[in-house]
Amino acid sequence: MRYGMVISLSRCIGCNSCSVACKHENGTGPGVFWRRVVITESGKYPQAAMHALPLLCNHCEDPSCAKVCPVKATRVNADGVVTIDAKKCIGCRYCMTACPYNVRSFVTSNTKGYYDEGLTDYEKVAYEDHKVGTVEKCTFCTQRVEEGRDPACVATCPAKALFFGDLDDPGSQVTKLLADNPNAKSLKPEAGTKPKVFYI
Amino acid sequence: MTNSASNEAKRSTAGNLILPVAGLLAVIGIACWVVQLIAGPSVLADTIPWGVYIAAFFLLAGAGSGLVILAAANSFGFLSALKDLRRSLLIGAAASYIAAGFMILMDLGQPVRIFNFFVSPNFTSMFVWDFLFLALTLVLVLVCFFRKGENKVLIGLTAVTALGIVLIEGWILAVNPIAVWSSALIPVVFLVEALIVAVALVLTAKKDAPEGLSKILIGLLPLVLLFSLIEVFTGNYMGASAEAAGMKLLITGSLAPFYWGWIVLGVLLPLVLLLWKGKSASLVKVAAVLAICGVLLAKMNLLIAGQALPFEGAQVTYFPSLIEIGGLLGGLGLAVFLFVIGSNYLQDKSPAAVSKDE
Repeated sequence: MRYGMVISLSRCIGCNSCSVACKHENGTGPGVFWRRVVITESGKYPQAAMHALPLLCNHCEDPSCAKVCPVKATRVNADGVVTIDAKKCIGCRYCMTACPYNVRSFVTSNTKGYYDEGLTDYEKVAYEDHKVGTVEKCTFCTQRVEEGRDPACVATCPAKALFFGDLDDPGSQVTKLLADNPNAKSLKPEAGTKPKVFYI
Repeated sequence: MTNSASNEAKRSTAGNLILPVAGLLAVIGIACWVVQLIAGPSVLADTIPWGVYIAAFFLLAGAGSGLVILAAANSFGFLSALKDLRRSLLIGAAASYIAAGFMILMDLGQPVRIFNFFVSPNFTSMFVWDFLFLALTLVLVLVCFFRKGENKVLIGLTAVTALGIVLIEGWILAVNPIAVWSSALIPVVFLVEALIVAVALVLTAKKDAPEGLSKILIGLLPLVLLFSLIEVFTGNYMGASAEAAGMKLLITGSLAPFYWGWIVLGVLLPLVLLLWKGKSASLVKVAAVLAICGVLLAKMNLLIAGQALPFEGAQVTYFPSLIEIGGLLGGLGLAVFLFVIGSNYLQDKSPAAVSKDE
């Protein structure tokens, strides 16, 4: 089993619903984005265009973050998901410099919420999962996938631009999409990390 | 009082001040660490993963290795000017390595978990290689110091592991997917910088440093500048690359004052002072201190230029927080403090010293 994601760039409208859904599901603090959408512009009027590029952990098959982690806190699980053991991480941030996609975050504080009045009840509960002094990132919403649900970003996307599934299952939607789109690309293939997030 | 007696008295006063000042800085550094441990990493400038603590770690670990290499060179018949300094070099190396370890502890988000290096080490990680080489070299340095008589094989082996530290730390950056760091020159630059710091430290600490050491510094400083200019030219030549964007930050961008500041104050000015025919001993020390500060600045420039432009992200700026500056001063103070303490209390009590006295 190898979980992966296919992102349709032609469908993505750059609304950042996935970013917000991720924050809601995982309770990340201000300034922390496990996934984000990069908007760029090209050309000049009247041939100008906007491009949206959703970015998240690529859950690479040969991840440089796992290779450099000095204490084996980052690992590739049996289902292909790259995870960080918050109880092992020493917070050296070597993985953050080694990640070609800059999609890892360092937890600096769990006391700063979104509102001046202090932490909300939800933030108080959610922030307990974010250990200060450790590195964290997208988990493909393991907690949802284990219940048979899609990651929050996939379930939320209003344009149905995100697809999640098992890349080893010939019947899965992601496998079919990749078969139908032989020109599917991954980011920075030259880094040699074999990403499992593909763009069509 | 004659002029020479007056100068001697001034030197003595300055010498007496070094230990309390270094100790005070070390205490300030430890206090900053305590604040950081209580308040959490939010007291650090977190716009980039690796900042001034890592730069100071590279500086101190490089200083230790440079000093070991100088001691070994002397043992093998080179640099005879260092004849009576071999054990001082070893004390300086041990002090630098311990202070480097302090900087790494300060940098960790979860320093208590340092034991995970032993519990579940990942041998593909260069951090583990660096940790092992640092620990091994520190032990070998101490063995060399306390061992009765001089053993060329031992000091040679220590120099090899010390060289390993510098190369590994260069590779930690060079093998990263960050465009500005992806250069095989970086381990070489780290080696040259380690030697610059080591020679400059001897020039700073020794009362009447031999002219030969100044000449070594005169030879090394243009070399590190040349390497940097080669990197900048290579990175910029093809224009619109990620490396060129990073290099542009250094040449004309937000890091330009620090890059040109390093060239002028950390390379050219020390060179002018060292080449000046009428230079005094004090000017040589000023040149040496500038060269050391220059290496720290060069490492900061390299670290920041590599991290300021994240993949598909906006440029970030970094300036160390007050706590980080305190930690940096603490690390440097700790190295000097340990060196002075070691020189005062260990130098004359080691078996090697006893053997020599006999």
